[in-house]
Amino acid sequence: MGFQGLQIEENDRFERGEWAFERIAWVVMAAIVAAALVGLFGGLGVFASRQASAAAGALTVEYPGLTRYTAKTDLRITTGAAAVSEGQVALTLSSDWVDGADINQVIPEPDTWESTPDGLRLTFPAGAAPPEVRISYRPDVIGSHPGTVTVGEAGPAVDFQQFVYP
Amino acid sequence: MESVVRALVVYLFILLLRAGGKRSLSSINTFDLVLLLIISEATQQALLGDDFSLTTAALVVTTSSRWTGSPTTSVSASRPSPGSPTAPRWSWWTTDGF
Repeated sequence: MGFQGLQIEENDRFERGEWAFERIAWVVMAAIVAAALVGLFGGLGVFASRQASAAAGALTVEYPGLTRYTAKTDLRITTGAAAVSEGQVALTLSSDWVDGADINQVIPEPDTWESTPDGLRLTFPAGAAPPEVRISYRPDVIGSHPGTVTVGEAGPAVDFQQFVYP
Repeated sequence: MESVVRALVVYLFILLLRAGGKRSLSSINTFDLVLLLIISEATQQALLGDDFSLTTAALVVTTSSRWTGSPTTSVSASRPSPGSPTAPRWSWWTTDGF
């Protein structure tokens, strides 16, 4: 092709390649934004709230399946009457989960925080009703973040699996 | 999801500033520069929320980046170059160049 009259350097082949690259990039960008809107990159969306329960409703854990590094995240643990023993509910958070979580706040405030070989044991009063516990934390690992919540030492247990984006 | 929505809202809001008129880089003065810094400081929290993850940063940048073609030679020897994003067949997509 001739470029008479145009006072610029042109590289036809390069420009053609650039246009193709641009169009592909638009599609990729649109796909990323669409995936983010659906919730595939954490935050609100389809994986915002997953649930795992132990038998007989003694223990239900609600957790986001996908979350992001250092983003404020909530774990909700609902206990049933079967989890109460001697007016108290003791919950053990497995150490693999606790190691990857920067816990900011536990509501309601536990009576005791105790380090055990299995992980972190929190004891809650269960005077009126079995407690609904909210653990507010920031993920401190990247990638897979599995955990187990156990009632007492060896009561009903719930396993859950989270993924943390970098 | 929030990241994309945040970026979109801030983008649309910033777009309103264009109503104040466009300026070329050479006509920018110190006041405009200070204003630019204030705008970026003020919108930072609204864009990122409270997490410091790469994912959030990448999503915010992707959502608010310019989604039109770069300026390229769309006319060569008075004829549109076939395949150019600004050639007539793409003129509904981006109108600069024509």
